[in-house]
Amino acid sequence: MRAAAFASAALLAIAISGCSSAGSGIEDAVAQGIAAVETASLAVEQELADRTFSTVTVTALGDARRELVDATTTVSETDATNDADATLRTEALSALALGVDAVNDARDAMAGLGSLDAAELLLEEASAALEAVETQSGTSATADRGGR
Amino acid sequence: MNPRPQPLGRVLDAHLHILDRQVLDRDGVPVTTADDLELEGIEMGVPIDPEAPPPFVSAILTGPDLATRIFGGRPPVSRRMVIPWRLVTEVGTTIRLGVSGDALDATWVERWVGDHIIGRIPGGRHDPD
Amino acid sequence: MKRIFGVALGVLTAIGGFVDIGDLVTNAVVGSRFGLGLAWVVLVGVVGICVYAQMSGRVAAVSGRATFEIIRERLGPRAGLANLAASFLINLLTVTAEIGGVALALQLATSVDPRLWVPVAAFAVWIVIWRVRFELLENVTGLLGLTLIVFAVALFLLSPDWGSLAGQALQPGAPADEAATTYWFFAIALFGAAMTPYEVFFFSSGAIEERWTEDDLAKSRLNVFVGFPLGGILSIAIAGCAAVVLLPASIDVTSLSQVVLPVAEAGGKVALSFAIVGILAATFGAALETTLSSGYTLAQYFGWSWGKFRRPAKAARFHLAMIICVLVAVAILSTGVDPIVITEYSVVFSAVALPLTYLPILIIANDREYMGDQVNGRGMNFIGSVYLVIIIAAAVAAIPLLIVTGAGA
Repeated sequence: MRAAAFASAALLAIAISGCSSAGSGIEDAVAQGIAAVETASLAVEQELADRTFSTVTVTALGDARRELVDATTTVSETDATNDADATLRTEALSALALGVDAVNDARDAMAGLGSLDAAELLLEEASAALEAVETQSGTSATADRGGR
Repeated sequence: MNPRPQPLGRVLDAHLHILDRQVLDRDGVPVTTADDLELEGIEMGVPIDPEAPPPFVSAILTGPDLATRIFGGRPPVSRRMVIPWRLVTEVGTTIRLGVSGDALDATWVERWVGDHIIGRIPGGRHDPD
Repeated sequence: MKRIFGVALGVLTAIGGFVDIGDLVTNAVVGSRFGLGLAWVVLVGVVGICVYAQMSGRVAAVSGRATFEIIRERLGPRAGLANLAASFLINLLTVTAEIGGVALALQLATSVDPRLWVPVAAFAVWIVIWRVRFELLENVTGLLGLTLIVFAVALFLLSPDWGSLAGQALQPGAPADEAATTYWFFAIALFGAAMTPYEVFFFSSGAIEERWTEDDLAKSRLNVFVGFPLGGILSIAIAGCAAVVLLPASIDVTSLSQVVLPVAEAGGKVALSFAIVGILAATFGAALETTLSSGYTLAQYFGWSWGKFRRPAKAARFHLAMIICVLVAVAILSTGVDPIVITEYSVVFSAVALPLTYLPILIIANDREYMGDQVNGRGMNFIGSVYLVIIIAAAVAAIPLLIVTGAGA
């Protein structure tokens, strides 16, 4: 009986914890995107400096891309309650899309298509774009919630 | 009131000293855990006749008896896996039997899995390195 | 000379064997988000596991019985069954996480998709359990796991601001961009990662596998009290590397590839190769231990014949149970679920299961029928009881925090 209670509590916990993170919204998704783009930049930097193995770089880029796609999906499925939110969402999506392109360019470069240096520059651009969205969402969020 | 006469030999509490103890065979190989005990000389729901000889432990039960002991009920006689008590040589932190585990009916699941599943995988019958 | 070698081997194996995928991931995540602000949890966890591993080893050596056998005898079949069900399921989750970790490490080495590596890793785990001698299995994975020292070396090579790192460690608390509830959630996760329940089952059953005597007990005490803390320092080094390289770059760790980036930054390809070998050895060793633990717990509860020292056909149900566990782990991983996510859940649920494992050990270590006059002294009982309170607090808080923080999102 105790085991059954424990099991159902555990299942409930897993179900609910999955739900509550969806409510965190655009801010978290943008932070996720920044983490992914920074990871990709670091990996590319190490690759260009020959400090790492290509297998690790390719894996890191693949993981980064997955995070960016995940963030994009989260933002795409967020409902906007006002104009500011809607604009934020559009800008977040375009910054994340830039990130995905940059990571893909880097992956292609690892496979021999295009240049890794160019990809590095694109990654920096994506990072800047995402940070701009983050600052913007930070100010609008502070206005809404009175700071964290 | 007169004090109760001290019985000869060791006094064991079935719950504390026998049930849920590991049963080992003559060579120290685990056979099973004592899941339940079969008592003879006593009937369910019938008051004990004070003149009758005392009931005694006739067997250690294993197999489906674990589930019935925890959740209730009794398995039918045909489903019981029985280790006759006369095979027990020692009761301590473990219960030791005087025969090899392979000779018992109660170990049939282990022998079956050993012969038909594990034994068929290459290396299953080898002694460990 | 041979004695010194034996002692050194034991200690080194304990250090290398301390870290598993749970430690790797949780410490890296914590380092990348909280700096060294949770280092104190690792220290608390290490002391706890030292105390309890020693207790369970002593119980096994003195009484000749392994933990789960005694759990059923002392707590009864019903409580024992509840304990078994919970411990076994969480152990299974850990097996899944470790085999997933092996696959991820192989991806780092080869860039081949981890899902393709899962069956290979699972088969390798099984074949080693099937054929390799217990001591050899322990020693090889333990020694290879020592290469994780590269994380400590990398931390030095990164020339961090030691003052600020020390500041983070000595002033525990959440940084500005993380909530206090998230901080405590990760404290519990880190605690669960350090005090993994399977370690205790494995340790006490291993004592019986290797037929420990009083002499061996003294040796094991040394291995545990020197080896585990040094292993804990490795965990902190992993967090430190993440704190120095990933935290400033706003990189929250969500994959194994990010864990090794600081090492490449510090020492290039040479350091990186040590790290990959170390991760592979640590996760593979842990996969072996958790799989064996699942077999031990089932066999000891039901009274089956068990042990690697027996021919497999003579410990048939024990081996069959382990084969089924590995197959279930492969099935779970084949659904494509991220092994890192499984790892994060497994450490939290390990924290929830800790009282189930540790309370019986504390009870049995005080039981004269099993221990004779080797029962716990007052000091040991005091520490054990203090830890029991901590463990119960962590177990009770774990699930609510899991829900409130959305698994640390």
